[in-house]
Amino acid sequence: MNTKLSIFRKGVILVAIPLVAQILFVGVLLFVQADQDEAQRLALHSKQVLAQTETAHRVIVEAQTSLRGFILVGLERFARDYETQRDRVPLEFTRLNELVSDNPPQQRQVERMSELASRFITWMNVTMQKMKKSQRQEVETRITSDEAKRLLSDLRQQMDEFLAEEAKLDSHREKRLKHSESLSFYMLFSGVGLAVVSSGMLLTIFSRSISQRLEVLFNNTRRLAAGEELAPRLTGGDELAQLDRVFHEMAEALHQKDQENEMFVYSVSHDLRSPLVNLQGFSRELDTTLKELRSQLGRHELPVVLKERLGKMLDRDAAEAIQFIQTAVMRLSAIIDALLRLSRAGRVEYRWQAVEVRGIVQRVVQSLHDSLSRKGAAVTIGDLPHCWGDLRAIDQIFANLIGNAVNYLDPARPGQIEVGWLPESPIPGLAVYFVKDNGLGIPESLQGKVFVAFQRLHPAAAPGEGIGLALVRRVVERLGGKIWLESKPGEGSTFYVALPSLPLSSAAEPAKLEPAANTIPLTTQQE
Amino acid sequence: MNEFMKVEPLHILLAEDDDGHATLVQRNLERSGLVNGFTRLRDGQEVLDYLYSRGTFAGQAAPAQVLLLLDIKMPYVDGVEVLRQVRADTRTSTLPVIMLTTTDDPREIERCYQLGCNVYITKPVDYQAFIEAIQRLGLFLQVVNVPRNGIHP
Repeated sequence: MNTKLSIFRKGVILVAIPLVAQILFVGVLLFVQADQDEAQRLALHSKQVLAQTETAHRVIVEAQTSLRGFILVGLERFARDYETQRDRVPLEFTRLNELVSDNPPQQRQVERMSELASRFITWMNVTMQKMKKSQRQEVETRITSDEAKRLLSDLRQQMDEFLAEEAKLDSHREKRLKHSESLSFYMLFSGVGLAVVSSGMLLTIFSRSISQRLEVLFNNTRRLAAGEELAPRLTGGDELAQLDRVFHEMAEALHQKDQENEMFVYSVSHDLRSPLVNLQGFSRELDTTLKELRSQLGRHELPVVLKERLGKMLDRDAAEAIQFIQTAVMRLSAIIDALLRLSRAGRVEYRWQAVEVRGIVQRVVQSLHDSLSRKGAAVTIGDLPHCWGDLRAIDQIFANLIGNAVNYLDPARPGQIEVGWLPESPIPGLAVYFVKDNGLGIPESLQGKVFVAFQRLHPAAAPGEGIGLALVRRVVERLGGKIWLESKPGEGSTFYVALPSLPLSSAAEPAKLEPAANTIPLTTQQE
Repeated sequence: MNEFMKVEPLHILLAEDDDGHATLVQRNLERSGLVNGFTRLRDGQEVLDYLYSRGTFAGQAAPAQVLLLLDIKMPYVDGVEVLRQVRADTRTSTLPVIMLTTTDDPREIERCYQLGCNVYITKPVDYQAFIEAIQRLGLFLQVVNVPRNGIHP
């Protein structure tokens, strides 16, 4: 169906097509029905004509029989019978004439038969009168003559012709009736078949043009909410395509806002770094100058009281001030670095490839060997499947999660950390890994906050800016995955990470397969 | 001190719009024992004028051997643009160029190397690391034999 039509018009078409088809079908059926009625009527009519002819013939024969009886026996009853039958003859022929009024040749035949019949009746009448007058001799002559026989056989012949013609007509009409009946049967049968087929076709069209596209739209709203890439735009100009276009524009605007935000965070935190270099640098310069002053002070002769006072000013007041400045600068610098890391996590380009998660986890655990043995904690690593993503991004995820698990172990019991996966993934297309610990745990009321930047739950347990999980969530979402947790204070936490288990068809960038040049001498990468 | 340096003194040209950074760089290069000629300029335009004896530096011939220390974020003409122009001009295409900046964005670093900078140094906020970076640079400049055609990467 043309996707330019509005849904209302599509609906009208979907309703109108079967309606028009039904009206046409009913019309055809009515026509066939009328035809069948007519055929039935005609067939019946032929039968009537045949019966009527037989009746007319029988009446004549009966009249003759009565006449014969009267001649032979002379009973008055035969004469009365004869008259009754004789009087019926013209009546029967008139009726027959009426029956064939629609067929002029047969009508003429009836007239000929009627003519012969009346001649025969005249002959019988004359014979009867002679008999009544007891002119037996003459009666005998009449009866033995061939006249009556000839008249009767003529009549019989005419009748046979008439009957033959009518029988021909009858069989013809019978055929037509049969034909009409089978026609109406086929019409009904094919009408039902057509209705089934056309309903199926309309259903397919409806599904293609509305249902399936609605589903695309529905998936897009879900993707938009989840921050995933949307499906390709719907074609056409109907309401669905318009709605889809708006969704795409919305996603585009959101994406742009995100990028602007990240650029803003990036340039602001970057500009903040420059004055920090001065603050830190010159406070150190000041420190050097103070040391110089102190050594100068030792070398010169001065009153003891003054020397002590100056020494105190230098050693305590000034040194303390510088210490505070430097601590504050380092703290600020750490926060800015964290912000830069967070903004970079949203901007670095990923090299999409199959990633061997188990190897990454093993390396991460190895790098944590010292703190693990210091805390007496054990890590078990399950049989982890590969996933699809960026090697460094996935390394970052597990380094943070396992690092957290180690940092926030409960000193009251031996630490146990498990890295595994769920073979029955609750999310199609994603492999779900987990990092489980028996550490301090997170109260339910605070579980929603752990993925927010600069939120720290146990600041005393380990140093940091509270950026790790915010970073992890950002990375996981950029990889097209999901992260969530289950935790109970005093029992431990389990962090679940769902990552794409197969190459994403639309969101991934499969073109970028050449190794990225990222050799950066003289600088230490922070991620 | 290298005998060679006395014969072919390497003039250090620092482009830095932040006075504090410039002071810290110069002071610590001196502390590391580097006694080369040193000129500090405030932006990329000044660097180009200085190198090609234009504008405010018209008529002043630039020293024969120059090493460029470029900050990236500068007003008017930034460090990356200076690098691009210096590499595009045959007179200066072989000059040693060191990028010295607060940016540690891998893409920015990548771009500078693609444009032909010889070394890229991040100014860390940590003073000790900063001093070390500058002093390492000073040592590097002392030991490296700088031929007339400059350093090739």
